[in-house]
Amino acid sequence: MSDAKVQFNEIFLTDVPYIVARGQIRLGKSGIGWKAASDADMAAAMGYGIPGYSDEKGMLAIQSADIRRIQWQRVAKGFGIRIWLKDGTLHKLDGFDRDDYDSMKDAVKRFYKGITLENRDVSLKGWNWGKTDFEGQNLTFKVENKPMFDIPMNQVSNTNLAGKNEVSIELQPTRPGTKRKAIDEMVEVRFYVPGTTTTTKKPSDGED
Amino acid sequence: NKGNSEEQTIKKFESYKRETALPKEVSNCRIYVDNRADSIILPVYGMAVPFHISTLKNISKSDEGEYVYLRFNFNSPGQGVGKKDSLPISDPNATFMRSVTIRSSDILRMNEMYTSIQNLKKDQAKRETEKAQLAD
Repeated sequence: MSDAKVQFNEIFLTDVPYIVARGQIRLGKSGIGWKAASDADMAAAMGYGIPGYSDEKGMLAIQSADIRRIQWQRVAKGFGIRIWLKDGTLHKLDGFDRDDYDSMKDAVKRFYKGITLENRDVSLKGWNWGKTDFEGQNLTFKVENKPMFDIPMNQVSNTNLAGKNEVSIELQPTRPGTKRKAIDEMVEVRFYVPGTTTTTKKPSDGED
Repeated sequence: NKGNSEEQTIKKFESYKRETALPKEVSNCRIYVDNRADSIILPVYGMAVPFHISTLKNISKSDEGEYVYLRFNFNSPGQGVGKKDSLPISDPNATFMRSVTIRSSDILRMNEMYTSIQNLKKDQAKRETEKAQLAD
């Protein structure tokens, strides 16, 4: 029983934004593996140089010894896991059901010494103010200390001080020529960052 | 008491209390308008990120070649003179998202989104005005 692998189907490898690569994930004592479900799924993840991913086999292999943390969080496609490796690599796999949580938690505990499935509780308050923070290669926007979204730094194509207290971040478009359905892609985000010197007065609000 | 009234302003709106309340439609990673929750949900790198309509200042649309760009401008400090805004000023060090731009080549759907978000914003503004009048 303890060597048995735990498998989940219809799981998307989302290390690279906007690709649609569906497959199976397996957890075992030696590590975690993901395998593309079809040739099309294999092709979708090809050529990006995802660490640990073999273009020929259409497989992602993660060694147990390399795993630092595993997080479970709500994503658009149901639930996802975030696997952080000791070298800083982050693998993202989405498409889990809420009900997969227990078996995932159990598998992580059984197979990987010292690792527990952490709950990454995301903010759904719908607020647009909070704090920015860096988590590994991600710029994370947090509301009341809960992550609201992450921007992978490798997706940033340009940043600008667009005005006083305003920072704009331009994001890379999807790879040209990629066969894709009409997708909605974020191309720019702007933040108001309060000044470090003037924090007491309300800005230009007239009288109270 | 100033502190209390500020707190009330902040707590006035909230998109979702728990993740189970997120609509099913978010799974396709596209812009979604949830009229029931007075919220728009934007896809951000695989996450479904709600913004309450109260945070939205306005939305603009531009067509460029095969793409439609929707730019969501949010309420943030230092914008618009004279208009009294209800910013959560209890935290002067807060960072605000000022705008998000999303593009898509699905022109028809983007036009629909633009219209329905504008409608949601109008409805919300109307309700706010009515509420303010009642309070007077």
